Amino acid sequence: MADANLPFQKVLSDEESRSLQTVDVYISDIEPKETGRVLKFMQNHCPQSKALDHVKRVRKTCHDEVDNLNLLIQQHNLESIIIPRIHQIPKYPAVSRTQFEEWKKLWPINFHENSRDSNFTLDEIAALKYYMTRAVKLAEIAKSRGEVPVGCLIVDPQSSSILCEANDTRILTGNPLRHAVLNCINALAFSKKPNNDEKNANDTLLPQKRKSEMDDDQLMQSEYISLVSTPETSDEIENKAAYLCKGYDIFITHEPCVLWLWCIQGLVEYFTEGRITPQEV
Amino acid sequence: MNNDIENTDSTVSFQTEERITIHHDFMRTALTLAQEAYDNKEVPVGCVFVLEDGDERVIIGSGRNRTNETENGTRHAELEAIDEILASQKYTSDVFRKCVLYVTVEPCVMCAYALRLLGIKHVYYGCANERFGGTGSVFTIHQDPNLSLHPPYPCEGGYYREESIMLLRRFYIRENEKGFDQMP
Repeated sequence: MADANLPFQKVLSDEESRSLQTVDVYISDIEPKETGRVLKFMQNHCPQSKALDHVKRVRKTCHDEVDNLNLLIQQHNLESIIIPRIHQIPKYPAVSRTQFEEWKKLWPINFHENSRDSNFTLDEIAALKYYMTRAVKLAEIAKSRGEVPVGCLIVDPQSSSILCEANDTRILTGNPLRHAVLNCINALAFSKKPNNDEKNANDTLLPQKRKSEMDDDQLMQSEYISLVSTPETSDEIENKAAYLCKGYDIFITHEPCVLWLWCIQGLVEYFTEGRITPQEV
Repeated sequence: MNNDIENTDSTVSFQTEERITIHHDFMRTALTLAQEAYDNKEVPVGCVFVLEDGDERVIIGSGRNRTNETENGTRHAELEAIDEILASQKYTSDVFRKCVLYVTVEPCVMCAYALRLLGIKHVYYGCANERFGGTGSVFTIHQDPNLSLHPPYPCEGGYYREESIMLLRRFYIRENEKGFDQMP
């Protein structure tokens, strides 16, 4: 159940919120066979403004349909009752309330408010905000080290636990592929492997500390690149699910690039049921 | 050339013994790595990065799939090789601008973009990847004009295509027999 009074409103994009607006243009009826000649004249003498590139130059007025309709009406002896004429109606269903209010003036239309958009509970929103703030903090740490400011964490929504966190290290490591998301996925995979504590500590691919959540001060001071809290899953099936990151949520300060979108999108196996929560900073 | 790789006991069967171009030579090395992946229960994909300096060509890094071993679905052959090269501290990431990649299977979307990000000079592959191919089969990441941050790169396939496919087939037959239903 969604809470009634959410602390925010959905902000519509310009395309979604734009109402129907019109501009005046000259039009004229012409014979179809003259179309070529007329278009040539228009091109030479009245070039169309670039702003109207989306408008077609010619509209076919089909009188055949009207004739057929009149014929049908006559056949059914309805000509005294039905007198067809042309009227303009909204071409698409309204997807926002603003569009609905505007477009229904032309003709009555149906509108079903999308209830999915506001399906969060206040508790969920608080959690999302907490995770996102943490991601931003990770990005700030990266920035303070002269790194690309991107932060990322993977969360198990079932247990509400942070599985791993990482920030960008592409500058410090000299490896342009060390994006926060990759570091995070690597950290998660690493945490799953037994006996990995000591060996391979040289590679930045691997987390240097294994602690569960640090507080903010520790976070700011620590030298870690990715820190991990190992989820307590002994069951093999659960481990497999973890390998595939199924059902986990990922929080990233920036929209993922093509490189890692592939992993996240669920095109293959990653995050197939998880939600992605990107936020522009 | 890396002698360890050259001497790896390989069971890859080549349909033709004829070495047509220099590219086929490098692709053979990539195939032995794919075979190594197969022998280690990994999806059999292998690759080599070749540094081109004038007429000189040197393999500076190689890799094969390790997604099962690492339990990490992003550890594809290309990323393994890239990390090996950069971890060696011998090269900076600029080196890839002079590198050619030979990989037995068309790079996936992720790897295709990683290669673009690194400014790879040229990519040659064996067989196409019709499920996740990023350089023509599903997406055209290597040439996509919308990705304006990094320059496009040329990519061509078909080098030992049959051999690359046969390795994959053998892998999936073996996995299916074991009752695994997993495609890392």
